[in-house]
Amino acid sequence: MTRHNVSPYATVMDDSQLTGRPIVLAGAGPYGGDLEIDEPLVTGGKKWTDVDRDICMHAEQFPTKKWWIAFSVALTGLGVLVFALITLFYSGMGILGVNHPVGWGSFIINFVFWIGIGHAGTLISAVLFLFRQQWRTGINRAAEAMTLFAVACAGIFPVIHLGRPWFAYWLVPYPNARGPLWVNFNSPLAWDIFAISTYGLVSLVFWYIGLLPDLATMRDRATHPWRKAIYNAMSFGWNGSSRAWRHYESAYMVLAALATPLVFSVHTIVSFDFATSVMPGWHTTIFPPYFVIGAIFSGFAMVITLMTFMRGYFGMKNYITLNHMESMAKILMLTGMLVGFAYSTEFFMAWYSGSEWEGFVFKNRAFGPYGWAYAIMFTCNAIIPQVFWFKSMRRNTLVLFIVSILVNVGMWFERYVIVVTSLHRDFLPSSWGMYALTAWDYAFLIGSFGLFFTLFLLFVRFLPVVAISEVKGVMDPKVARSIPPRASAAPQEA
Amino acid sequence: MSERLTTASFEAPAGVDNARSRAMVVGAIGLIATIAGAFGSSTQFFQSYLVAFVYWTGVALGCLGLLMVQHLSGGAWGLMIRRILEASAKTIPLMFVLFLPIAFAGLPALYEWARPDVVAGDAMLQRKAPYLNATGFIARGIGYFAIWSLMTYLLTKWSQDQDGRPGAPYDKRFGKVSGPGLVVFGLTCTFAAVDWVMSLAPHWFSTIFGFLFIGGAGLAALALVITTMAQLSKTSPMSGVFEQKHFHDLGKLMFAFVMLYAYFSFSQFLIIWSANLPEELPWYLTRLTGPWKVIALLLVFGHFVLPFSLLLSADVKQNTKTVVPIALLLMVMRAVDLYWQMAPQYHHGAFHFHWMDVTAFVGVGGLWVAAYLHFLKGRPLLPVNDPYLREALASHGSH
Amino acid sequence: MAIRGILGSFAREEDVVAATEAARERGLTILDVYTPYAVHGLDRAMGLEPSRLPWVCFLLGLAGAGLKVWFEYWASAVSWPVNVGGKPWNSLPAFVPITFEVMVLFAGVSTVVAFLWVAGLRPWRRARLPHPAVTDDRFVLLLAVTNAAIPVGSITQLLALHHALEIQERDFEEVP
Repeated sequence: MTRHNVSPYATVMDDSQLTGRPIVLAGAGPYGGDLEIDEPLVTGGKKWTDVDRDICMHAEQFPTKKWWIAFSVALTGLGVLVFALITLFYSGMGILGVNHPVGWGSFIINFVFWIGIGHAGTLISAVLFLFRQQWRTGINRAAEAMTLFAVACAGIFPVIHLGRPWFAYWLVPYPNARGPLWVNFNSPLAWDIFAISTYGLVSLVFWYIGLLPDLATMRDRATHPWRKAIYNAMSFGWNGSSRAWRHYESAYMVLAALATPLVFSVHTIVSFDFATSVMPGWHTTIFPPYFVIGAIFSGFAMVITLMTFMRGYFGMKNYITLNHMESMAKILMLTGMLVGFAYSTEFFMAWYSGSEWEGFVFKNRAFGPYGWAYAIMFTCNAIIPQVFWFKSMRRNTLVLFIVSILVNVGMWFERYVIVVTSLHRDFLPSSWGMYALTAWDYAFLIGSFGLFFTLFLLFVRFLPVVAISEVKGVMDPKVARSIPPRASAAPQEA
Repeated sequence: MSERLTTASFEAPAGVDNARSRAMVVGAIGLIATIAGAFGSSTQFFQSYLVAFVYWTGVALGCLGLLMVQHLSGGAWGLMIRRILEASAKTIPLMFVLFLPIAFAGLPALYEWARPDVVAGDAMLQRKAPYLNATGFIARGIGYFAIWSLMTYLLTKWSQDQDGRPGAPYDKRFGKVSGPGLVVFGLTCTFAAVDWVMSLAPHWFSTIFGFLFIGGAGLAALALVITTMAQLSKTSPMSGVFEQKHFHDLGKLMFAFVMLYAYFSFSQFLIIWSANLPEELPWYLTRLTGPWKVIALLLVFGHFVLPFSLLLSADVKQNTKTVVPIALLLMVMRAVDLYWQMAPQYHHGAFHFHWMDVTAFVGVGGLWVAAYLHFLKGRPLLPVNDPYLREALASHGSH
Repeated sequence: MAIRGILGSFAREEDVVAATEAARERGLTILDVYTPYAVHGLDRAMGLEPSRLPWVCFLLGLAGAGLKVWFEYWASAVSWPVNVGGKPWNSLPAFVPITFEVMVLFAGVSTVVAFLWVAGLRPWRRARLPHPAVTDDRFVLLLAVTNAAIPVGSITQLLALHHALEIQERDFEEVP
């Protein structure tokens, strides 16, 4: 560790100069010792004006070739989804793999998978905000956008799984001509409707509040009158007034405090879909925290995947530094261990319980016909993230990228294991069966990725992908302001 | 903080000594009374003693967990309370001594699976015997305490070494032990909760139980920390150091734990209540009948509704006059909660309160507090050579 | 209504805070301070009351939760009781998840609406910027010239003393 006499913030130009360790300022600490300060969050000696330019640039200039290539791939995926949807509505549910006894198949798996991914964004914005983790400012905007798009992807599946999606509004408790017959408030499926829609809506407003000051920045940079007018309307006429900032901070704090338990509640309620039943392997009390942790795990993995693209293709390396990536890798490792802990607890309890059914289900999970899926799940989720015990691995972007993808593969299979293994062995051996995905199941899975990336690429194209005003707030003003340091000390009142 | 900070600047005040002596006296009276009661009914003695033992071990464990968390997370709140956490965690070897009577004399009085006559007539207990047996229980118990004591020893020893090395950089060993340490901690606490508490009802099982135990321990630990800080902040040297912002931070953390604990216990209840399965439901049925139901409702209000509503306010969290009563309430409610989880099992669901339930709690508690204050007194109240301390003392309290 | 004002723009956060504090001590009317990001301590320097938005959140959250419990009870136990799995009609434990969600929904959305309302943010309102760079890297303090006892010269001097980069005296159509 090198010792410095003055803060070296202005000279840290890129990732190669970041170590992920504190900077030691000689003799600045208590007791005449050293003071340790964290490395700068923004590198490249950026000024506040540079932040505006770097981040708004992607929305201001004509899209690059790379963007068009990515967008056309994503759009193709979306086309697959639309085609699959049309076929599904035309032919009916028979085109899918679900049948007796596995009546919940890839749609529920995809639903839980996407909802899980949707957890990291709000978590980053809310929980890391409450814990004052300043590195969140580099990634929170994109992560929140990811949340919204993942929730949109997730929302499709339960609706089309209804079989008659045009009656989806029956899920809402409204006075109706059927009695009035209300929805069953004892059912976790009814809780889901409220949880997902509340989550989507609150995440949207939370995200949008954060966007207001940045949209104002985009407006003030815009030269074309139409563009200016559109961004002005979108920014609600924000002008940086302190009176507005004061309420803004208060509202943001309140929303963060609300969103934190909300994040927990959503996947908890999704876990209740399984846990309040009497199926062995589903009915287990650890499910709520286990699902929440799994969701955070997969969400962070997806954030790492997306941030790798943003660093590589959109030149965000100065704002999303290796230190950011390392912090996320640590969270990935921690949540991965907790997920592994939950897997082990379930196994231990199945044995400890002495219950025949529990014991059978878990043996069957790991060593039965779907043992291969269990092996993928366990390897990807509990074992592979252990590479992040090594700092060099946490700071290797290629390793991070590969692990982040493997984790999401593993998390998809986790839901596969939970949904399929508990159902395919019914209580009566005469009701046993197997489940296989059809080509249409795959089409929906691929199509949901198409929708997700289409939305994400549009977001990158039109909105500030990093929270400009928040990043400005955590930059060292000595480096970031537009005029050089002055010679004189603090002003004296005349 | 322009003056030089030395280890002498943060000597514990004399009040800590006085409090320790008082705790010692109270503890001795409680323990003598309880031991005297043991001649009347040794079964009742162990039943009361186990609740007290699990409670105070939980407080020490909660502090050990928080100690490792703050080494990993960093931040001003952790530096401020590090010495308090260390003092509390150091009592773990003492709790091991208090574990021995349970392990070697109390098992048949406490656990059905330790009574050969009961096991002989119960096929399920025979099936569970590979885990639920006396040798395993004792061996595991010794293992847990060995692991916890080792982690405490390393973390407190290095922290003490730091006091003698002014100007040294941050000791990376703290993080290296705390990371894997937390994993081991989670596992051992889960198994300890199964062994000591869950196996009181040997037919019942709940996979969330480990989380529940750790959450409760963390909550009690935070309540203890806040109470201690408030007492220390009354006199020099800590009067100018523990500020509103620190109480605010820890109050927020306590608030989070109040919610987390309620979340865990409500999830467990809702899942079991919804499924209505005969192997799980009896646990709640006994605890929701007669006087136990009154206690359950008391817990809903005292353990969640009341502290939650009060702690919503930032002013309440910052003011020691308001936050301390809440912390004390939570410590009491944690004890009531453990009693509600454990005691119904002793008399097959019948409500049975004995005076030893109180004396054992006070006796073990007095002894524990005396040991805790002894360790607190032995060291400066802040880790003065931690390179982050200056930043922590100067950091802003608000966002 | 036109207001005569003096504008000082700063490049440093600490300058604008100090200038605001000084202006307030001198009894000047602070029209507003404009910053590119949230500056801590500025509300105190301006002498603003803390925002009351948490109260909106709390009360509306409480109202949402209360309404939802009542509605679930009414729908499940009064309007059309249905026996589901032998559970009581009035299944309070099962009502908790939705009650929580509705509480958060009410609290969150009402906070945002109240925020937009009290901060004067409307999509159809054209932003009134005192200086083109307030959303970029400038901090702007806007003082009113109303008090005849304090000459314009001394206000300008105060701003200059705190290292204002630009000082302009002009009429503002309305308080921006």
